[in-house]
Amino acid sequence: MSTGLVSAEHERDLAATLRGLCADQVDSAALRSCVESSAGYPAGLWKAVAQDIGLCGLTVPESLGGLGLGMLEVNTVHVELGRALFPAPFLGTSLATTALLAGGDVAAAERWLPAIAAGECVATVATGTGVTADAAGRLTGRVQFVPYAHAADLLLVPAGESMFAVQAGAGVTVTQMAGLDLTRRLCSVEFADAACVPVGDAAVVDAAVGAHLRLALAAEAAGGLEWCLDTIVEYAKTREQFGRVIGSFQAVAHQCVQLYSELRTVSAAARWAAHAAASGDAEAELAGYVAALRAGDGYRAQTEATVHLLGGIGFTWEHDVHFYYRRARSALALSGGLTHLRQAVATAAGLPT
Amino acid sequence: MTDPTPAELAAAAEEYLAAHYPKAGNRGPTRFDWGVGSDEVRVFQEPDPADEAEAMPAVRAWRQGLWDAGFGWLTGPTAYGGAGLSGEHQREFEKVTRRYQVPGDSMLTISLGMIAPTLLNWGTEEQKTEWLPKLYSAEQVACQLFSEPGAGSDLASIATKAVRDGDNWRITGAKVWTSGAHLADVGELICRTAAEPRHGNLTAFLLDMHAPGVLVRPLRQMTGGAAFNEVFFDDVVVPDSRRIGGEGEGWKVALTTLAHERNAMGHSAFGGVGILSTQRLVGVIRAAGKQDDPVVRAEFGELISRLRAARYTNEVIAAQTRAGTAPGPEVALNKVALADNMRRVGEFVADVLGEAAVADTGEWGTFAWTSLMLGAPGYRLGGGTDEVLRNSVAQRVLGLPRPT
Repeated sequence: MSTGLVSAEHERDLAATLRGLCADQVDSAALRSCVESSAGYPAGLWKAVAQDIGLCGLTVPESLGGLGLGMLEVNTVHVELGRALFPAPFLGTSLATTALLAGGDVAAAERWLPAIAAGECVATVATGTGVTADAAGRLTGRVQFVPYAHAADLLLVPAGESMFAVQAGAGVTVTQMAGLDLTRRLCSVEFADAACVPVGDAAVVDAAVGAHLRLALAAEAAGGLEWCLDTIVEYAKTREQFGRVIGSFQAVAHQCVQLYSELRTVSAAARWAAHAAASGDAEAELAGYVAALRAGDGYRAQTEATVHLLGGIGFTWEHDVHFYYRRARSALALSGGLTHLRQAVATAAGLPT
Repeated sequence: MTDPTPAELAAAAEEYLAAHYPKAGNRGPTRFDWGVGSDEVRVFQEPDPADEAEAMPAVRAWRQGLWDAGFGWLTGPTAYGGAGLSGEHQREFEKVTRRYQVPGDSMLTISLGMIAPTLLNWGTEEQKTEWLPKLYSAEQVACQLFSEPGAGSDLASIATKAVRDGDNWRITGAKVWTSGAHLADVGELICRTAAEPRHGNLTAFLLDMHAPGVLVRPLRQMTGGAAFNEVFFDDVVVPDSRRIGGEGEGWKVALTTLAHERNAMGHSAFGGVGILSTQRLVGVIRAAGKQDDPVVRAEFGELISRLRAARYTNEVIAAQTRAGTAPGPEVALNKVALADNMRRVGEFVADVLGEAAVADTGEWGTFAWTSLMLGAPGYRLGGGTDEVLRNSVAQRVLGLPRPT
């Protein structure tokens, strides 16, 4: 059995670095100022993460200036980012890296990945349909729900049977959508005769991007659930009602245990899925859907339980818990929703149609 | 002499097993084919007492043979008859045994999975030297005498009394829900050795089940089987040399056994290729002709995701353990999850089968699921109820205060 199920030393170092950075710089006040800013993330902090730590080069091959790491490290990073709700265009950039690698177009990879790895090019990926390419190779149409497109220098967009790369600028109009998740911006992108370059088969790229997205969101859910558990256990030990701390009520204690149980399950499923993807396990696809489903469902339910256990304070704007509840709801929808994920697990588990 | 490598051990095991047992069929035991072989779906082993009496000598012979050949306790300390090898050796050995038709250890789960490890933790040098070889060679089979009519979940309130009488103890009282007592030669017995209430003054003994004054009576379960018992003690004499741990340390000894029990239950094969296998569930759906029903597909996906997630959780914990992080009291949650998954499987299958789940049409693999539906509630009780285990995790893992 590979040791990939347990984080390696370099992953623990990376996690500690990110956790320290988040503890210092992404506190409640910083998060709120991001929420209220037009960019949605702090440029200085993003620069530190992207350029100094080299986060954007995480999965970029070393030959193209990246760290050449894989899904295990993606798991580790997203647990930390998810724990802090770190508002940054990392997810889209990371997905774009996977898209460019999966597309197999060497020229495209050599053109953009070094800049992505250096933190100089913010990228994102659109997964919806609605864009067409004309014979001259120009894009027209609209895609929605694209993460941080307003900050992106490079957009990857499917049109017909190909995935296309488009640079921000002429023919590309980005509008931020009003979003449920205030710590992850989604955009609507309008293409009007925009110049583009094909970078690979749309179905192939889409499958790779989807698998990466599910693993990343599952890891974020594990991190978010850690925050929920820490928050609620601390509260249950100190908040008094009826003359005793509420954690001494069995009904409250059992809800805390349920949250802890979901955290264990979601963390393990996300890690196992990352391990399966990294090692080419035959069950990798199934494991990815299992992780996405258990994470999506568990995160949604347990952020709601956290609001409940916090009582009235949990239902105020002042408490941070609503940012997590928003993230959980939004992430579940982005990974396809419960019914879709359940059906996908059934099919991947071998139930014939 | 140097230790064998795992591969060398596997080769030696292969040679031994080939000389003594027939090869398993072409279909490995991890493979499941709908409609082939037994359609039994049981949560608990509940053999007919006559079949059981017939099977036990073969099980004992299997263990004795392994013991004599040096495979009886691969990971055990050499001081007590073990081979002093690694978990990797154990896994290699198990891989080889799956290729042969052997009686296996399922009737010895309590003996080997719970009582032997407790003795290894708590026994005196003399007890370990004497009893561990007897247990691992199945010369003696052990049961666990904990619960009482008035002390199930509240185990600390047990009332069975042990009174000092020179170098002996005299025991009076009754135990209940004791799995396998009718097969056991010895039992790990927890008694009250003074009037002090609850956790205080409990003491553990290794009781001779054949001693005068011990009466074992089968209890019929709601599944219809009789795998557990009532056990009565009428002034039973136990020598002090059979005390496990110090006087008054019985609660700590019992907790050790319970931790092994919950770990063993949570790691059982149910979540994997056993009775809850994916193929078997797919077989049910196809037999009912419901594979194209989108609601059935979605519910099947939900169920599989929970079964798989439970397995992944166990595997991640196992990997952490191998890397040196010992699992704590939270492993009790594995058992809670497994019991919950069993319940969900019963509900799903009942829904898919409809009437075929409540009356036998004679079709393979349909009415057989009633064994699981009837057995699953028991799994939520055995080894600690969901509520007791959650309380334990709340207090011992999350640090929440005891309820007042």
